[in-house]
Amino acid sequence: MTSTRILLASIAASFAVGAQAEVVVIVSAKSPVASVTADQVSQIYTGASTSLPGGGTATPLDREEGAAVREEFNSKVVGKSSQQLKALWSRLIFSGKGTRPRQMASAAEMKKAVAADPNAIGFIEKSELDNTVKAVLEAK
Amino acid sequence: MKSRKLAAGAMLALACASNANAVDFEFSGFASAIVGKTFGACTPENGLATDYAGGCTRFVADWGHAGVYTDKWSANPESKLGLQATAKFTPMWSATGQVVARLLEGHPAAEVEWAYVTFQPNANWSIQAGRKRVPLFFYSDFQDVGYAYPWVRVPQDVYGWDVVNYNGANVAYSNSYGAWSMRSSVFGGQETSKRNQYSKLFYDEGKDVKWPKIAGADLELTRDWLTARIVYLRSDYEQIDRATGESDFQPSGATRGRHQAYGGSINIDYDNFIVRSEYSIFDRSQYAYKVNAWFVGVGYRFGNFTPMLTASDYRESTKFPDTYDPSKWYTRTLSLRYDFGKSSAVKIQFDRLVDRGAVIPGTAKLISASYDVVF
Repeated sequence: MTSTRILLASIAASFAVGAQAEVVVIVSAKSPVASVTADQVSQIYTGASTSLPGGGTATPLDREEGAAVREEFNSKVVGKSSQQLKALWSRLIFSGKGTRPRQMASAAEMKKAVAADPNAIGFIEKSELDNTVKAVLEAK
Repeated sequence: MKSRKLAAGAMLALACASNANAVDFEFSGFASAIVGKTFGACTPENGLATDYAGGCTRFVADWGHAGVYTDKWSANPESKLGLQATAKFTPMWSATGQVVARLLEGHPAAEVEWAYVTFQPNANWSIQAGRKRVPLFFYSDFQDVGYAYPWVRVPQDVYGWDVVNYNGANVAYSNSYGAWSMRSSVFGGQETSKRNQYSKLFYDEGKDVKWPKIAGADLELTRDWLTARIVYLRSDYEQIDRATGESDFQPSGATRGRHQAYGGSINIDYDNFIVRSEYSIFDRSQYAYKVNAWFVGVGYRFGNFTPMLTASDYRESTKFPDTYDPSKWYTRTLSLRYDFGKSSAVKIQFDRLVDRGAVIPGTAKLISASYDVVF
């Protein structure tokens, strides 16, 4: 029993450590958007909406499949697994209702693309923030 | 066929014309390799055309493309490969073409099933014109993309109709309100389906099926774990015998009629629970019959495994019992999906169809397995 509890505790601890890499949703430093809700971000990343708060057309940017920050973003902000999202986007892409978000290969590439496009929206680890982009939502 | 070639040609011309500018091309695709075989008590009597009536048992896995399994293993009825290209000329204008190749006998090797131009003036509105899928049901416009749903195939008790694509236009509006988002569209157009595949299931002679004056609308609401959709469609209907060029008489005695279809679907993804459901009324009662069809599926995600139980039902009624014998059957389905890799899934599925009215395919069991991928 005791060993089971220790095992459970250590599993819980390792999850807690994993969760400390906080994810922030970012837009360009030049964007007028000051904040977004998790619902808005979820709608943009599930293809249900392409509207940015304030009326612009959002260009969502994604990270490559398998990136840890992507898993974190999908589960905490979008609220879907990568597989669920892939199935959702398959529907949208092949029925003419949306185009797949472009995938960035690194945090640096993500920041560069977001900084350059006032309509772009992306996500990075909080520790990667710099003055070219601004955080509009922090994953809880 | 002609209009498909025209649409494809127009797209190609558009793509070439704007080659000088920076055009963003995006390529994607999907494929399903599916094998299956029927089994169960022998039911030689059935209402299918000669080509499909053989064997002891049979299962129509794709009514729209005449994909039928018999008691011999086959990969032909449903296996397919789809390739899609989208050319984005400006942020507002794009053109998309989708070619689907099927293993089915007697079916052209590959057909342009989608070819349309999209104009998206802002985040809320989009206008599309060209060749598209008739959005009659929730899964209609992605029923070829096996990766996007939990079964080997969408429940055929609801999804089996004669016209799959149409030429026309649609206007769509989407918006979000707090946690809710909505998407609504109106569409209109027409279709002449030469050598109609669905009709091949019932007639030894070749038939063309016309759906002129298609008009309809749909509305989809989504909130976190819930997706709900309603749809209405109507069109005229005519079936023409290819050999004689004459319109066939319908059970009412008329050669042309008008039908309407309406229904709704509710899908739930709550934690690991999934529910998929759809109810549809296809009303051809003016000239032939009226169908009530539905399915309800309940599943649960255990990590990469999604087992699911689905019940579906198809029931016809008619005002012309002297000339039309209505069909009734139901299907019980047990399916298991396993996700692996970045974008592939294998599924195994067991179906039991019980045919209780004017026997069409006949009572049968089907075992099938698929490998689905998107790229």
